[in-house]
Amino acid sequence: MHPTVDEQLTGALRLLDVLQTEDELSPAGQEVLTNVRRLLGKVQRSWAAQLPFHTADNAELTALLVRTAPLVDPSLVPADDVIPPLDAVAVATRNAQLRALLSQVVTGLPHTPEGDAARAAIADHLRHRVDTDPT
Amino acid sequence: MSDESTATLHRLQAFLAGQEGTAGTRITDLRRAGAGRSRENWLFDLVGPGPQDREPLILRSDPDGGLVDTSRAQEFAVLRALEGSDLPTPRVRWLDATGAQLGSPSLLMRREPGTCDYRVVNGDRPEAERLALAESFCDLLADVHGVDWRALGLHDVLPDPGDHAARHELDHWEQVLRQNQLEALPELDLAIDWLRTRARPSRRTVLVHADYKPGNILLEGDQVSSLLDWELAHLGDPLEDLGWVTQPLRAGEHLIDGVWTAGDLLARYAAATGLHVEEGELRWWVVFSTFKTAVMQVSGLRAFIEGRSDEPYRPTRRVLATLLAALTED
Repeated sequence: MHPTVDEQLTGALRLLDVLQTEDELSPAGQEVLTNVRRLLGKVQRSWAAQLPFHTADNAELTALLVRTAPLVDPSLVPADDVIPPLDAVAVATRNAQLRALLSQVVTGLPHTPEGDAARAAIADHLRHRVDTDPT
Repeated sequence: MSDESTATLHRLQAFLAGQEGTAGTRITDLRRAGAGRSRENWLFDLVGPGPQDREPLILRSDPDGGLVDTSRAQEFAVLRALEGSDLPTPRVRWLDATGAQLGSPSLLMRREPGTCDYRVVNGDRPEAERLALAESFCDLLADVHGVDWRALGLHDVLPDPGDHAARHELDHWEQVLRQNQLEALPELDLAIDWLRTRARPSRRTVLVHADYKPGNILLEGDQVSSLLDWELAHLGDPLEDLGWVTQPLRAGEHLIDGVWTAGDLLARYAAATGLHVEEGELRWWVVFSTFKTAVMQVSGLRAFIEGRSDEPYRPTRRVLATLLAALTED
């Protein structure tokens, strides 16, 4: 169990803190170190939340595409693929596939009241997604 | 001196030896500006041939990867043309357009006096001084837009989009997005759809700086000494720069809460240029500016992932949220 992912990331950040106090570090080295810390910090804050986030977003995206894709092309409605629910990579890959379908829908929506309503629903979804994306 | 500095010094020496007016000169104080592979600016002085001769210079080379690819040759030509104007721009000296001698496409220009402070308008100076600076930045933008680009021959360097500047810029930045995106980004596709259906013809064509900000302005005390970073400059709609400086993402760099608002800026700009702009009319360019910022981040992300840049850019929550809010505010 130990070290956990969190413990390893915390440890890596602590070691970088040690390095950052070194007097010999050049400004260029300091900047690179700062970027490494930012990246590791993001991973630390988000890794555990990614699977539930993608799982929930996939469900919302599927429902959204079922409602909006027929306005553009019925073949853009996602198939009922079975994704292993605990396979984080598979769930993330599915998320990217669904977002690609959504991009195609956005690009093809007609400029009609139905199309505008679909745009509004898509914008609502994307705003919620941006607000809740842990990455 | 690092291996990289030594290699740069040798390349510079060989390059300058072949240029006019450099006989008897030598390079001193060569050092890199900034850090990482995203920035390829080198500072040095060219000393001689007389005992008192010293010219501070900067070498700007194309990085392996950055926020956006631009042309050093075009930047050189724009700056050379602007030397015939009253704008405070750095003097360009030499160009290696292909990078055959300096390793990558590069230009050398004079290092102008002064310092940059991208937060100066909301910094530590007294409010009256900050307001005066904000007003002078507005006046300088009006001066940029007032440049007689035809007389300076800038249309030989930069394409004139006519009154289709909005569509022209949208096409360009959509192309940058398509070249660089690693995955579907429906947020940006939604923005493109919004922008494409609402683009308006421009009322006049001016020289657009396209990255106008205090961070690109050198100050000596309270006086502007130079306006830098012309790599994105093009002919287009003056509302483009006005949208860039009034967009929510940049408000902290250009506006002062309760003292210098977007309305104040537009009023002063109108008094200087005769171009009256309603904030509603600016909305397209404000949305476009946020979209362009997101595209730059997408480009920067690709450069980082491909190992061409050390800056871990990404489309940020702040930029995407601001963009989506701007699209859906009515």
